[in-house]
Amino acid sequence: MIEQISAIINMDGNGLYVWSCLFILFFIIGINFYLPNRKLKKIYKENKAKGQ
Amino acid sequence: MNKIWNYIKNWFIEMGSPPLFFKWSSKILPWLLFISISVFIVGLLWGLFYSPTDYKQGDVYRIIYIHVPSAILGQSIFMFMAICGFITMVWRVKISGMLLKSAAPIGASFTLIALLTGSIWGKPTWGTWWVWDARLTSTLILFFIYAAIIGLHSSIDDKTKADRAISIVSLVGIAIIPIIKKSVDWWQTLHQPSTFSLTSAPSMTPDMYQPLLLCFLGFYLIFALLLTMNLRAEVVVREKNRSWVSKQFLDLER
Repeated sequence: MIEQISAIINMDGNGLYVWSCLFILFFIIGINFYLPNRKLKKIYKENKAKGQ
Repeated sequence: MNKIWNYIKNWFIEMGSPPLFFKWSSKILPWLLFISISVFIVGLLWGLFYSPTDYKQGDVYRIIYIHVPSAILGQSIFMFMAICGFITMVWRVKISGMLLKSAAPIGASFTLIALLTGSIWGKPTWGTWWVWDARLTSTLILFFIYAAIIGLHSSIDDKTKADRAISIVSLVGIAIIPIIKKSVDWWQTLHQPSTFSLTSAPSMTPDMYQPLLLCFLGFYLIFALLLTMNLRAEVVVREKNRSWVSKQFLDLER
């Protein structure tokens, strides 16, 4: 089991290349998820403050 | 047939209205979130863990499941933006300008992912991070066009004028897409020929090709999700002083 996991992580010595690509993908998509939500929250707070 | 056509036409007209779009997207968003993330994760898991190892490149070829869908999506988004730009210029549909503006950062992100992952893939296969090869350079130009569109829009205060300005840039900038596509045929490049062709059978085996197709679907669905989220934020930012925005927020609170 541990050998299998380490083989997946190592990927024949190419693990660093493959995993860094996956990290870049999730990091950039994560930013794209965060930004519109932040914008909406900001307007929501402004709207709430105006209503009070 | 006529009924279906009328339904589609009415749906498009309704989606042109910001309040109706916001209401409709609130219903569709949870489903889209679930479906897109599921397909995206399954596609990546299949490609990264269950597809066979390439006899020539070994496991490093698995970057294809990230790099190729990102690169093609980056170009598809630009084509989508050019269509939105055309609609904005010809019919002056308010929401198409917002769509164009919302798609630009997503397109830039996927083009950046394609550039970075391509560079990482280049190191073990070509022995270098970067070469000024026709495919790489034209993709870098596409990224700069995206950056110019984002910068131009944020520098103009009048958002209607800003929409028209970026519509023109996207209509002119579309010329880069056939250049990227044909760069591997027109010039001698280090980059391999296109992975996908409509006229010939894939050069990969089905057990490598099928996860790639699922990754494509997952990436396109993620684009649909991010575009819906961005467009909702854009609609609310532009219409924040309208009564329907406060009403929508009140409804969300309940």
